[in-house]
Amino acid sequence: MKHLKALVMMQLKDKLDFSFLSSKQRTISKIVFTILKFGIVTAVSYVVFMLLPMLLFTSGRVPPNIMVFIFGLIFILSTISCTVGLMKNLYFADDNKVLITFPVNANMIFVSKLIIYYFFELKRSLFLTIPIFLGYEVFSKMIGLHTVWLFIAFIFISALPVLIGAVLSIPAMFIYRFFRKVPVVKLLTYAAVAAAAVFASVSLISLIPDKINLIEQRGTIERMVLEGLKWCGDHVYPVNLLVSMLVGYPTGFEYSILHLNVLLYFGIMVGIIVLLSALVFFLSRPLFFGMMSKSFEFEKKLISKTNPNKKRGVIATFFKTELSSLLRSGITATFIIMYLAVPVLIFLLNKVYVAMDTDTEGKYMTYSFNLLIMILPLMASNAVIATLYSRDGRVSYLRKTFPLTPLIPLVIKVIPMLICSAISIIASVIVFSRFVSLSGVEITLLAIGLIGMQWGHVFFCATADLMNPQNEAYATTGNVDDNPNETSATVMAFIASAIYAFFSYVIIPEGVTTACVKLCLIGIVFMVALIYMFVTKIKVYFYEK
Amino acid sequence: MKKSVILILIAVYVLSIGIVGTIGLNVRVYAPNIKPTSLVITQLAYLDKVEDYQVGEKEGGAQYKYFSQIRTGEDVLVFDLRYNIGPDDATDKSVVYSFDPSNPNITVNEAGQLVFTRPTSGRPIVAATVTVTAKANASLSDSVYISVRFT
Repeated sequence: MKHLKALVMMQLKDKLDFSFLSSKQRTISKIVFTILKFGIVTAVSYVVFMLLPMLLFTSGRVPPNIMVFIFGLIFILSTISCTVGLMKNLYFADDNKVLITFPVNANMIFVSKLIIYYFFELKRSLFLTIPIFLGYEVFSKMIGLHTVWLFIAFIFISALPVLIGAVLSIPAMFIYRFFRKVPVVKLLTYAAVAAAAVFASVSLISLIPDKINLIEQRGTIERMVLEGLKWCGDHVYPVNLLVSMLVGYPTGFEYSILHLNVLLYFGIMVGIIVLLSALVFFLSRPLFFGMMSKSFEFEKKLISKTNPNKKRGVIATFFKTELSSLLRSGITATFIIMYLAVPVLIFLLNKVYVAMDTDTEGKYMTYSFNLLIMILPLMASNAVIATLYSRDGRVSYLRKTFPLTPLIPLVIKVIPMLICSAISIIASVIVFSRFVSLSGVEITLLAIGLIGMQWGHVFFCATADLMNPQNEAYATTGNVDDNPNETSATVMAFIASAIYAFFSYVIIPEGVTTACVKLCLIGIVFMVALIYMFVTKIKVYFYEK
Repeated sequence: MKKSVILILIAVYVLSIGIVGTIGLNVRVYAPNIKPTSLVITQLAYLDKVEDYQVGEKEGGAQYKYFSQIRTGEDVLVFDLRYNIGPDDATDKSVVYSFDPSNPNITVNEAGQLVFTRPTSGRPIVAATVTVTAKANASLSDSVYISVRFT
């Protein structure tokens, strides 16, 4: 146990920043911030549950099946995240080569990796799933014993996505290796997924009725939502069972924790955890050792036929290198999905808006929400850029040694994202202009403003990564679950896009052309300010006197 | 991308439709009184279950709606009787429940739900034909037979 504890603590230290423990003041502020974060998510959840009956459910009560839907969605996302993360952490992590040399029982290394993942899953539950359930319980006046039970139950529930992920990581690993060996299949799979997504979007768009009035059609929408929730409850029985265990068994007017069925559901869950643990131990562990002890020195496939060296300019050389490196990494998918999805989302949104008989205020709102939906997903996906330089690991230190200005390799690294996101924004603005009457000048101004916001945020993320590098963490494990730069980039994305959209709502009554000019100027100022900040920081970090 | 971010993005998208659809719509100056023209009982929800109605046949061949007999160990069962009332833009969609008033074990609570309570004496079965009538159109109604056996 002493060895296991040491292994866990050592790996945790690589992934988490415990420097706040050195100062009492910083420890207190960290605790306060953590409580505040928990409280805010709980309060938001409570407000959503309070608003739902006003907007949708005429009975005045929120059906319990809604928790099955929410928890089901979170559980599926958690399992996917754990599967991908564990596949990389168990079978492809660089620290495996170091860990195997430690004088400890080999099983402990495997268990320590799972414990680390369980710890992160528990942390994620604490800041998302538990506050959502707590908000529901406060709304349903089920606080007290229910709250205590919620925390206890999640200690066990958090193990489920980790163990399922550990089992699923085995086929995922084979698929990953197969894709790496035969890239054509990978490409065809991506194309098939993209085609399916386009087909689903077209089908969805064709379902939109010609006339939408949410107030008059409230009954129909409520009925459809209730039927959908019932379908969820009937078809995702394991999740239904977990939710029943969490909120209690319905007995007449209230939900009781002290019920035989709750105990039975808890027993079933513990049984499944034991079963999955055994499965992981007997299936995943031998494979882990096989992959861990595999000689990596000869893993690299030698290319028999090499392309002749070509002499290129500095920019072309770096661009080719960075583009190849980006395409080989797994993060490209996030960007591609977002860049393709945003114009489709805008089309879908405007099809719905067109079917509504909106008043003047409503029309202003449609402008603002369009801008928000155009910019927010792109900016949120920029959080990955806040990890881009750190992902290079120890190689990134070489940038200082290049015999040229550091600005060139650093900026070129984000150029593909700048170009692709600009194309996505232009496509979105053109789609938007098909639904509202915008002149060519207004379209151009709006596109420049939005591109300015997006590019400004890209440089904000890049600066965050340069100022607080996580190279060591990425060099050790290849993945950082709780990167503070990603968090600050995401927070900035939400704040900046919300302010921009709200400002557009305030100024659009002045006239669309005037508003477009102002929005364009704001975008340019935002971008110039953040590029200036980026260049200034580079000077501090990279130029040695 | 983190799952919390994905959830927030979905919420923002849904809200952008919901907000425009509720507070951004044209207010109609002329509000005609649209009477309900159809009313159909569809489901019965209780505890964590939802039952669909079934159609039975009486001796004379007449058809009637019923829900399969519910067995419960509880002393009180609260039901949400679900129905579809149309058209969607009907002005008043409220309904009234009616059943045998001499049955002391069936009541309607403040939330408009049917409450079946265990009989204090006699057979532990509470059964009734519940009729749902549209308030704005008394000729519009639908009935269903509900039976509960308290075990």
